[in-house]
Amino acid sequence: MSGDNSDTDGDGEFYLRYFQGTQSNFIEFELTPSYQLRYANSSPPSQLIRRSCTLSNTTVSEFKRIVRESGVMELDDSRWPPPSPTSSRAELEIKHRNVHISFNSPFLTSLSAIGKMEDPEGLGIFFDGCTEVKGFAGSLIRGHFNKRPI
Amino acid sequence: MSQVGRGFSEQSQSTRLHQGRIGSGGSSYEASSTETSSGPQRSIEGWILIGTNIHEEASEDDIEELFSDHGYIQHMTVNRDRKMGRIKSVLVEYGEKSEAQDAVNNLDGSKLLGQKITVDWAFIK
Repeated sequence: MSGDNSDTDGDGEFYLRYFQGTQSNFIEFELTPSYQLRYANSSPPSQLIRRSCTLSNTTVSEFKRIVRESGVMELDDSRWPPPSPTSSRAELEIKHRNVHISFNSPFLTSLSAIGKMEDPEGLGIFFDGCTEVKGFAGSLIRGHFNKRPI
Repeated sequence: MSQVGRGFSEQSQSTRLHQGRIGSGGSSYEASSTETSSGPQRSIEGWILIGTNIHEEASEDDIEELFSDHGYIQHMTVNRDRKMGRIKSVLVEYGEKSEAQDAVNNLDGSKLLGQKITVDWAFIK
């Protein structure tokens, strides 16, 4: 295993972006095709926090595995409720193996809220996938940048 | 490339509201390094490795035992899948680069519960 940025998985360019929140209060992760993981967090009144780091092939491959096994690449958001401009939303954009998805939804936090929608199964897969992506990206950013309390 | 989703529709008011915010601000990010050469990148508290392809029955103790043979583990984060709660990947932090290098050399491709694991640096320069 070495840390060069070549396409060792042989499945082309990979891109991922996750956004959650409103225009003024949000978190966003982006993984670029050059293996840059970028993180932005804004929760007023504090300033916008930005972080970026470069991931190894193995770390990027783990993102791909999470994406593949989550089932999000097989979804379609056409029957989901549209997000409103003023309340919290979730956006997930991924380019992987010749499929490019760009989904959005109001940010739904409970199974009962999802259950009332037209496509509860799809929304459930979507939010589970979002949670896994967010969890893995968050653990990388925290581990790389955050000092642990003594 | 097939495109799926409302995010591509220009008519949608929900389209890429924040794209410019994260996409254009490259220089203003707190970057971990300004060097362009490859190689492992130190994190704030030490050297972090990633372990993947972990056997579905492996426990946190199994993994800790494996990695602690190569140095003192300062910190370990376990990532599990949501459906089954199985360990999918671990982030293991050592204080010394030599310990982390030793773990990569010895553990990458080694077997845990009969399954070959992948161990690599999590971050590069």
